[in-house]
Amino acid sequence: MKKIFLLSITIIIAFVGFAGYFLFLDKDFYTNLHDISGDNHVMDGITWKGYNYSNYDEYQVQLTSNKARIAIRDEGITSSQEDDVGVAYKQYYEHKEDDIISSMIYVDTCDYTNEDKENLNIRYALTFANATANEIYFLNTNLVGHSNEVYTLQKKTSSCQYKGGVPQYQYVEMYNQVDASENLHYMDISSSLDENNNYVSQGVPPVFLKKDDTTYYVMPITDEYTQGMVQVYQLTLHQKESNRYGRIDTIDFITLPENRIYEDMKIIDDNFVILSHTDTNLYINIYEKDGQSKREVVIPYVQRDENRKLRVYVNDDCYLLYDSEEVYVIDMKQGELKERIPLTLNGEINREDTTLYYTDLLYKNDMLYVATAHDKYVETFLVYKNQELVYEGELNMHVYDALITLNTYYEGYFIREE
Amino acid sequence: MKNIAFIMEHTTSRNLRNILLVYMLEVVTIFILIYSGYAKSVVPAILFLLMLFVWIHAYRIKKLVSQGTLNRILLLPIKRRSFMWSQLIFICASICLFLIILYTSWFSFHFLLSSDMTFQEILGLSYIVPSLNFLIPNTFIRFITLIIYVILLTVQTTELSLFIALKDKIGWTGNTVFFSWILVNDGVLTINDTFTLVCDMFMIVFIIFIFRNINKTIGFRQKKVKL
Repeated sequence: MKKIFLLSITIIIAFVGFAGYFLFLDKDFYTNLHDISGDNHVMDGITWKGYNYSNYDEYQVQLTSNKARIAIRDEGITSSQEDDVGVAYKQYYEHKEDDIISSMIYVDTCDYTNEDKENLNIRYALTFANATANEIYFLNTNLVGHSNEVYTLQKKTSSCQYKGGVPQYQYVEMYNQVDASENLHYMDISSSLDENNNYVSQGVPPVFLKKDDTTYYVMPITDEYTQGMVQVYQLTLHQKESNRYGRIDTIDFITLPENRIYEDMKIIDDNFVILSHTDTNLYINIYEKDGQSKREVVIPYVQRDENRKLRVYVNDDCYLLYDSEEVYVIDMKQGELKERIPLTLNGEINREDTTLYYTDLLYKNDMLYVATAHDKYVETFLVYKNQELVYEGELNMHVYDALITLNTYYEGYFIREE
Repeated sequence: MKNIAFIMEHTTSRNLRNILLVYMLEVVTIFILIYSGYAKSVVPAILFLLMLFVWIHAYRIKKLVSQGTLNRILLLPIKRRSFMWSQLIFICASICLFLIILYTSWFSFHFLLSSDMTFQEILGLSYIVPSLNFLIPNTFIRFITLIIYVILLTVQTTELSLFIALKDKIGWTGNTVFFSWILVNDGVLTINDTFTLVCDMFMIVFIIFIFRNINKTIGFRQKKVKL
C-alpha cells in the first residue's frame, strides 16, 4: 500500500546523500602527463606549479614528475601554499608589467616640425599600481629612438595635451619609412588618447623591475637605431598618502657600455644581470646592488632575426638565454657557452600557424626542460638532452575525441630546489 | 502520513511507466552526448528533459481531474492538504531520481567510454563542464543551493501541473525558467558565495510564494467552521 510513498522518501534521502557525498570527496583531482613522444621518466623529480582560471573557479596545478594534481583554489589550498607560489613568482619573474601602462615618445611642443625629430628623446610614461590612474610619471632618457633614414614622424593632432589652455606636449607616432604598412619593428611606437583622455598605447615598455614597494629599476630596451647612452634608472617613490605617490626621485643608477643592443635585465641574488649583444658577441653583465660592475661574460653570438628578443632564465650555476628558436646554456662558473639547443617539436603542435608561448625554462641533470603554452590552451612540456628532443608531453585531459581541456592558459613555473 | 501514502498510491501508480520512460531517455541522451563528444551540452539537454517531466505530471493531474478522482479524494474524511503533500513528495522524488540517474550515468559512461580515466579525473572534468559543477556541489553553500533549487523545481512543477490541469492561472511561472536559464548560462549561479547566497534568498522567497499559491488558489486550505 505504501510502496510508492516509501520509494519516494527513499529516493529523496538517497539524493541528499548523493549530493552530500560530493562534499566529502577529495576536491583535488589528478591527471597524468600525456605523452606525445618519448618516455616520461625524464620528468621524474620535476615540479611545476601553475594557475588556471576556468568557469569561475580558480585552479592550482602542480605537476610532480608525470602526475598532475589539480586543486580548486577556493577550497583545500592553504594560504601558505599560495605564498609558496607567490615566492616562486617573485623570485623568477620580476617583470611587473601591470605596474606600467605605457612607454612612448613625446615631443615637448605641440607644434613640431620634421626637423625636430632628431631631438626627440624617448620618454616613458609610467604609472604605478598603487597610484591613481591619472598620476603619470615621465621618465626622460638620453636616447634618440630613430634615425632619419629609417623613421618618419606622423603628426597626431588629437593627442596634444593642454594645461591651462597652453599646449604642453604631444605624442608622436613613428613609422618605418621603408614600409609604413609593416609596423612590426619593436621600437615602433604608436599611441593615442581615448575619449576620456586616458592613455592608450601599444609601445614596447622598458624592462621594469620592482625591488620593493618604493624602489623600481627601469632599463630601456634598445635596437640598432637607438642612439645615445643607455642607463639603468632607479626610481624611488615617496609615499604621500595611502594610495597616491608623491615625489619620485630618479637616479642614473648604472651607465651601460655604448654601442650595444640591450635586451633584458633581471635582479638575481641582489645582483643586476643585464643582457646585451653586438653583431658578433653576446654580453652578460653582472652589477652589484650598489651599481658597481662585478663581472662580464662574453659569448660569440650572431643575431639571426632582430625581432627575436633574448630573455634570461636563471638556473643555479647556469644562465639560460632563449630567443624563441634556440636556448643558450651558459655556465657562469666557467664563463663559457655550455650548450646551444635548438628548440624543435615533434608532435601535433608543430604547425606553422601555432604560436608557442614559452612560460619557463629549467636546466637540470644536463637536460633542458621547457614549459610552453600554445593556442590550443594546453601546457606542453619539452625535454632536450644532447641538443635533441627526448620527450614531449601535454598536460590536459583527453576524453574521447572531443578534447575537454581546462579552457584557459596555464600560467606556471618550474620549482627550483632551494 | 498514512493518508499521504494512500493518496500517492492511488494517484501516481498508473503514470509510473511514463516517468520511467523519461529516465530511460535521460540515460540514452547522456550516453549519446558523451559518445559523440558533446558532453558539455549535458545541462541544456537535461533541462529539456525536465520540461518533459512537467508535461507528464501535468497530464497526470489533468487526468485525475477529468476522471473525477480529485473530487472523490477531496470528499474523503481526510485532511485536504494530504493531496498536496502527496503530489509534492512524489514530484520531488521524481526530480531527485532524475538527478541520481544523471550522476550515475555520467560517471559510469565516462568509465566505459574512456578506460584510462580515474574517478578523480572524471570528477575534475565534471567541475569544469559549465553548469554541471552546480549539480555536483563541492562546497556546503553550493550543496544547500542545489537542495533549494530542487525544492523550487518541485513546487514550480506542481504549480504548473495544477495550472494546466485546472485551466486556471495560479501563479507566475517565470521564476523557475529564470533560474534554469542562469543555471544553463555557464554556471553563473556559482559565480561566488555571496551571489549564490543572494540567489538562495530569492529562491526561498519564490518557494514560499508558490507554496502559498498552491495552498490558497486550489482551495485546499481547510475552513474553520464555528459551531
